[in-house]
Amino acid sequence: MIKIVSASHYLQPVNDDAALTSLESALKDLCREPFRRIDRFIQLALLGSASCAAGRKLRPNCGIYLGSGLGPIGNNIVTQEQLIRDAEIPKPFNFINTLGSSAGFYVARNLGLQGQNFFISRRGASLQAVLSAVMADMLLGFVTQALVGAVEEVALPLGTHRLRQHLPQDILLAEGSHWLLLQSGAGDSRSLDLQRFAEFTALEDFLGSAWQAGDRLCCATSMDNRVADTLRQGFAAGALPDADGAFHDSLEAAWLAAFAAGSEPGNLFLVDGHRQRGWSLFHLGA
Amino acid sequence: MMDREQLKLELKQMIIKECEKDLRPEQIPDDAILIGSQGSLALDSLDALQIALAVKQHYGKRIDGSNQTRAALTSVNSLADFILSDAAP
Repeated sequence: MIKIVSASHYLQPVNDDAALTSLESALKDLCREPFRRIDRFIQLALLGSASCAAGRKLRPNCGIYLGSGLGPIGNNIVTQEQLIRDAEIPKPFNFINTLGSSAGFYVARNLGLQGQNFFISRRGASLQAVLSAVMADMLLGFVTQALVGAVEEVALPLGTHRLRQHLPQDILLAEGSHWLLLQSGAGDSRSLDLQRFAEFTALEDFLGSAWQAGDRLCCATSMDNRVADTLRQGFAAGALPDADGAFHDSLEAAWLAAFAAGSEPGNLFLVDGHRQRGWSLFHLGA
Repeated sequence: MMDREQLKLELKQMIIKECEKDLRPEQIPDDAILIGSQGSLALDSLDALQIALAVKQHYGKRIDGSNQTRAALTSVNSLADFILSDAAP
């Protein structure tokens, strides 16, 4: 059985091109050493992972599974501008940090971890991608403990950031760093499991039989709206409100981490899928 | 002709900025070894690349892989000498 030992949840709405919230002070308190050459995306990853691991002694072979929809977008823009607009060789620090896995390197170094370290970029489903990977590895015994996170950075100006993602210009954007510490074995903490269904009716039937008063439901942002609405209507009492009305590409991670970090009773079900690909149901136990 | 002392101050400021070192210019001696663990700044090869690119951008001088130009990265003194030298950029 996979257990959620701890969780951390950082979601910061960004208003109208105001400067992004400085993370320096929080990182000074959370990190074992001051890091050079890190960008905003790495700062967010360090902040969330260190908060999730705070006060816990992690196993040296604890795995790191980091997902993101947009990845280190700020650094990517700077590097592309150096390369294409300015026709210059990109600065080494910028170039290296365009790799999403740079963030995993710093997270491992900060927490003293030497286990496997994955970065998965998947628009609209980064958490589902990393959860699928880590759960497979844990069930096969490749890892017994893992830090699983999703990080999203905002690159100013906001109008361009919205345009880049094909979002309406009035949508509130947010940055986020959402992490779960998973461990194989028994215990009192919440469990995490994943079930897959070929047919939507099978998913509905399962949810109907498993559902208890006080449970919560969320539908992945990439799901077909009509299908998601059908589910939300069926389980209206438990439909999870959106995260402060703010959007980033890994909102599913925000919902799960906030729920796992909180003290709300009941189960949380996260549904994702498509009629042709089948359906996934992530279940956080009570 | 560029003033050598002014240039050395600029180079120290550039090294601090480019390599994100928490130092003040006066804390970097002119002859301090810049790259490698024996130097007090403990800069590495990635820092060397970062400095080389900044020198190219600011002073138009290219530090390539040859021993002669690589030696320019030994210290602030050698970097200033390299920039002030007549060698073609």
